Amino acid sequence: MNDIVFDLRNIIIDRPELQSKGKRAIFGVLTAGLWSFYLYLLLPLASLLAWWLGFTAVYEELVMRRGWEALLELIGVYGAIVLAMGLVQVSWALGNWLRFYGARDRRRERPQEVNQEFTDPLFLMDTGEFPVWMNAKRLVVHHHPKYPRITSVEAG
Amino acid sequence: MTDTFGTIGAILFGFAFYYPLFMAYNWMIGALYYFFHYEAHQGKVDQPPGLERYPGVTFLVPCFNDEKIVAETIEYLLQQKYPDFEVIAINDGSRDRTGDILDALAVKHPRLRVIHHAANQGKAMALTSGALLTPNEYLICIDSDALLDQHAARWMMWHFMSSTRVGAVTGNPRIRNRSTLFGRIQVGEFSSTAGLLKRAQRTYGRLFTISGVIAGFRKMALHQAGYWSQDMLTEDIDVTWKLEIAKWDVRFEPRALCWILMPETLSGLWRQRLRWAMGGAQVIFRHFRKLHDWRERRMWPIYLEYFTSMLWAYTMATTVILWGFGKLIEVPQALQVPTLLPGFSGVLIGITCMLQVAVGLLMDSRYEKGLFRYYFWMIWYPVAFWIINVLTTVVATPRVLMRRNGKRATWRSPDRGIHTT
Repeated sequence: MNDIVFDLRNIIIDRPELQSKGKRAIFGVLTAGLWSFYLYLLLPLASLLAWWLGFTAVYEELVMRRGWEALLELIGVYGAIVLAMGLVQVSWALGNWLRFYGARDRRRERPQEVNQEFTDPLFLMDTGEFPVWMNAKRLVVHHHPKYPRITSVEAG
Repeated sequence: MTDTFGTIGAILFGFAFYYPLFMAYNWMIGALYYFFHYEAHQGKVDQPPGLERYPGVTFLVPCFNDEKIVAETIEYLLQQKYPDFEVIAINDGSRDRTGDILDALAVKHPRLRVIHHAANQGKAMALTSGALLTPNEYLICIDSDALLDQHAARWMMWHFMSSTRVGAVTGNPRIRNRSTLFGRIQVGEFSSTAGLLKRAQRTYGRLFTISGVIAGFRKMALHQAGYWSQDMLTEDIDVTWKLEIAKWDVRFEPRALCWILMPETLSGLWRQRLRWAMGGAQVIFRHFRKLHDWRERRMWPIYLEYFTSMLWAYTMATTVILWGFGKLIEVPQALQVPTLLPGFSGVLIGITCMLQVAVGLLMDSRYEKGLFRYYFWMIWYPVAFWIINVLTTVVATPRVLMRRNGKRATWRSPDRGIHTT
């Protein structure tokens, strides 16, 4: 058997040239559209930076007219909500961890393993050949047309 | 009355815009907690911990019309660095040469066995047949187009050996095909949402779903849960809920890497995501009544998260429709949506998206070097994610409600993107 070498260069397929020119153009336009959308999101920040570059305007808009208050207020409210959510989540996680960690684990015994006795009801047939099926290289399996049950197994 | 209507409108619009923002922080906090609590101090991918015993493991590979890719999957799988394993490929009534290819591979490889279904039964039944016809108690299921990392089995078995409560462990799917915009966006998605979400959900206590493409199971847990359901569109979400309701622990192992092919066309992506959305809704409706039980309280956070995201999708769709109407006709003042992205809130949402992607990549870059080179493309994922999430949820929910109960789920050949083989 030839061993396969696990090399990400063989696994990852990053070959944009396999696309048609038309598709590449569409994706290019789509990407540009997404960038534009993102810049639209950041427009107020861009305005802020622009004002900052012209100090007089910044002073007038953000200090005299107290425009910065809107941003600070938002950051304060959002920050408080995020902090509250974070505290609730971490407390819940720590509480659960302390409760279930180590000695308090209620399922300490290794669970029983599934054997033929458990699976027999899933076969609508005689399962006398079960040990043979467990090692057969090739099996052909038939199912009930309506219920999810095996009706016949042929080995070989 | 108008004031009340206006207030309700304001609450709904606020919910539409701020839900993704706050959920992003919720996920980041949960994921970072998980990372520092469970992950950061563990070894590298190629240095899995030693186990006190190495029970036999069976890899189950359900196949349907996979003649082009199944040989590669099996050849990679047979390279597992685990002492005692077998591979069972289940040919679910394929109409192409899949069966012949598997039979030829089985002659060549002693560890490979093949089960042929006389007729097509669906993926759930294929997995169940494999589980019933192996003597091993531990099963690792991968899709027929996935390449499993050599050390994945050791990492997954480490969980089963470390706690008797563990019923299932899901691995970390990584995208192989990155030639197109869709492929690259999904590289970001699998770090900044899928990976982040699984870590965060482990912090809440329960996973919404394992990744069906790479999941390990304790057979007794599966048996108690009733194996995989035949009529569920996403058998992986369903089996996760069944296991968790049966009080089995379902874990995430980020070092169990599995390289997968994803759709690289819009139609392929839409079909896949619609199926996921329908499958999620189907599971939520099916298990709804069980959640009233106090003993199921650890399921409540993920149920709440899913239900809220469903509600959000409809709220967002309504908001966009009202905004669109407002551009065309006169709408009552209480229902007017002047802009979709208001001022500084837009800035914070934009920055949050960038931060979420960065946090997701940072955590996963431990397992895949050079991941940040996709940041340029990934930064756009949150926008695409929220849009597709709205559309698929809005379409999926009524479809699931109208779907006949018990109708068997069938295979569809997926879009596997640009593939070189």
